[in-house]
Amino acid sequence: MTNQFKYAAIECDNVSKHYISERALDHLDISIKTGERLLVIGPNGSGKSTLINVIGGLIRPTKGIIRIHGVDIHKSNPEHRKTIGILTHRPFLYEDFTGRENLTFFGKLFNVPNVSYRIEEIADLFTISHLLDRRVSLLSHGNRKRLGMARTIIHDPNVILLDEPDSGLDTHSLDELARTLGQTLQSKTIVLTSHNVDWALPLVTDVLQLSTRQEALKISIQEYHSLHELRKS
Amino acid sequence: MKTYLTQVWDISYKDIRLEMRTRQMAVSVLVIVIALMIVTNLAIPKSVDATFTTTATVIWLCILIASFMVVMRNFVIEYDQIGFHGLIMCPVPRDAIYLGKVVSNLIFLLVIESILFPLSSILFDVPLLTPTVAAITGMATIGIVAAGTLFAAISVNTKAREIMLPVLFFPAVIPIVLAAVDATQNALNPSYGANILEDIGVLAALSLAIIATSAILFNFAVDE
Repeated sequence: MTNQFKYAAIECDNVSKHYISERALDHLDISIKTGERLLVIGPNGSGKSTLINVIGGLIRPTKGIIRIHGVDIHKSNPEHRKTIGILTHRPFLYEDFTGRENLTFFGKLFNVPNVSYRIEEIADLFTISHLLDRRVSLLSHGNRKRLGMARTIIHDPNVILLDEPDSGLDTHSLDELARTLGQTLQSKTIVLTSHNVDWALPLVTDVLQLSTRQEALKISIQEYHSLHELRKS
Repeated sequence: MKTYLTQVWDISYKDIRLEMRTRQMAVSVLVIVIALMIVTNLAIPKSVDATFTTTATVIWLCILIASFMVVMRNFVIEYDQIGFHGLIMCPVPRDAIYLGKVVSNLIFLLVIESILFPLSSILFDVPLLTPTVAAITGMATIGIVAAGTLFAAISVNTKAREIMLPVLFFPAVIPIVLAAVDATQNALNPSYGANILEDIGVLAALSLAIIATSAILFNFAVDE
């Protein structure tokens, strides 16, 4: 049995992240199974982006351990990062490069075999073929986001972390992103944050509710709907 | 090992391509250092006794300013365009990121030096284009760039990066710059009777120590 199935895809073990003047995460314990899709919701300042960054290994937690497929992400070999694809508020693209140059650069760093073919493949997936040879600085916010999504999955990661992937996208792009997340990336473990709950709910299997008091509640989508109905009535 | 070196080169090559596209760094650095060289050449009175010392001091002052601008600009581009997290998320050891940045900074600076040395050789009328001066320059440049790359990585993440980098960078590279000035004037005037090979050896040892220490410290410098 490989690590991918033996262990939970993501485990946050007693994770806290404190900044100088505030606590972003406090003693968070969650486990996300392989293939699970988790929507993280909560008001501004509840620690959604911090959670994505901590799981993605971009920032270290003040306390606790984050394991991806059983391996501590902050102590693991850099090679282990190949299992993660992350899209934060910034799309991580060089503005003076074209889309293709950006994808080629990141594809090479992630050691993607046959990068050119892979770029065409994901360009088709996100319908961004027409953007590939344009400089990123000339692209709209929404198109940068789509290119950023392509960059996130260029190395075909098992765990995909998306921080508000829907922000700045028009209705058509939102539908396309939902289709891609729903069908093409079906076998992946996905953690996404969004303020657009109506858009994101049909895409996920579980919901993690964070509060500004750093309380966390993880429930299944069915439980979320029941709770919502109960609150309405 | 091959993958590691390929990653180092991929990062350097990306920096070089970005610079070739915009030429922002090369133009601004060359304008400043050439202006500095011309002003000092015109302002300092010519004296046979002081020519070698003056030339060595002016050229290393220019290289010091050029290296400060190069390392700062390289990291500012990285930080402003993708943020350092863009590289940290990749399956690349952090020391490979550091070495990639060192290599690109070194290439930028060697290109600038290849313009500076013939120019100062003409302006000051001294034989700067010799293998000995080239060896001294190469060794000292490696040390300056290695320290500068580390300090640029530390300061670029801070709010006061324009203040932080000079505060960290200039005091740290003073020993290697002084050693380079000394070695250059010794190389220009063989009558001093100095052991040039020993000078080059000291510079090489200093550079090696700086690069090894910086590669280790870089792991912590880019953490947050």
